[in-house]
Amino acid sequence: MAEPLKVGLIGAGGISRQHLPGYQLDPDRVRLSAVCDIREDAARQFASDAGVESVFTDAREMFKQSDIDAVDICTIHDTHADLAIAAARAGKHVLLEKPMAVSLDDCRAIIEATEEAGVTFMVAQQLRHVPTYMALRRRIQAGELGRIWSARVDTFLTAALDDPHQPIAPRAGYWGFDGKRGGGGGRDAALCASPRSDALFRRRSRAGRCSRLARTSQLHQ
Amino acid sequence: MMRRIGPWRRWSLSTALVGHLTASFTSRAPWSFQLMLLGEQGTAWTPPLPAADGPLMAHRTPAVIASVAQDGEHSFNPDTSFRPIDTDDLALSTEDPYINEIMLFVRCCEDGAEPISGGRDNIETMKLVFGIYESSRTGKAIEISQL
Repeated sequence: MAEPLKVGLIGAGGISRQHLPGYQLDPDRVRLSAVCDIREDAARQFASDAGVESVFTDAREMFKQSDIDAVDICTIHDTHADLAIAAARAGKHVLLEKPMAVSLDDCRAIIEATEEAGVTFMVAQQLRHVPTYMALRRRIQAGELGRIWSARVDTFLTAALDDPHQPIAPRAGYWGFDGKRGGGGGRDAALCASPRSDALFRRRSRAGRCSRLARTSQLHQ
Repeated sequence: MMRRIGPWRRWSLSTALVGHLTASFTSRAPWSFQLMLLGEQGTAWTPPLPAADGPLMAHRTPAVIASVAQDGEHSFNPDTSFRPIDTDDLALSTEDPYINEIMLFVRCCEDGAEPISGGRDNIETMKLVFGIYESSRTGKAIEISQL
């Protein structure tokens, strides 16, 4: 039997908890072998919960010292490009939590680095792995809906509200609303919705265009 | 600096399809994901059901599909016209999309196959999102292929 894929997880925040069960399903094929977070207490807590002994606070040290085949990057968005490129250059396969990066130039740099290194690169877009949407895509591709004329996608994620009983205001200090770090809440929420719709009729949207509907709209930058 | 987000966006696709995307982190609305596709032969719809397992599981809301033309129905009854999508033939390890994506990543590392959300696939999604922002900033339509 082949050795299991050994993965080092970077970023022990909220989304990493959603990834953990995936490393516990089939230990003969995949194992979480190291955990890294710049906050040592968070890294140690996650490692303890995951049953992992190897803990790091510097990702590059983890690439050098730990016996891992792949990394799972769950950090804040503006760190994605730097970490993914460094991991690829260290010869590690890369699973990168969405969004790929905070600029298209960074996205292209990640693709170039992973292709040059010959490693597997995958963006974690979990909605593409929801069984009903996977089945729906097959039906669309089989022509069951016929030619599609209209698509509507609505995504509401109220987690960023400071207090659900107060007037709407982004959570104080929430990095997701920092245009440079998270890209803005609209970008993150749109990323939850657009891959699902985009994955369903990708060939059409590639050649499409987007336009502003409401002149009152404002975005974070 | 914090500013409010106007969540409405529209995209026009090459087949004259019109897409409408509403996405917000701050709207006072139930945590939800909803989708409606209108086709010549039928409609696919994800009804806004409550999330039983917590907000992060809201996307597991079962999608339903109706093929009205095939069924010969002319009046729409949400209780009878729509039927759940059968996922039995997908042969997935679990219903959990996070586990499914980890296991797909493992499989691609093992055999070298390109993941469904590999870099060259995903950058097209990123172009759509960046195009929305650019359109909002400039007030002009953005050709995604030019990004």
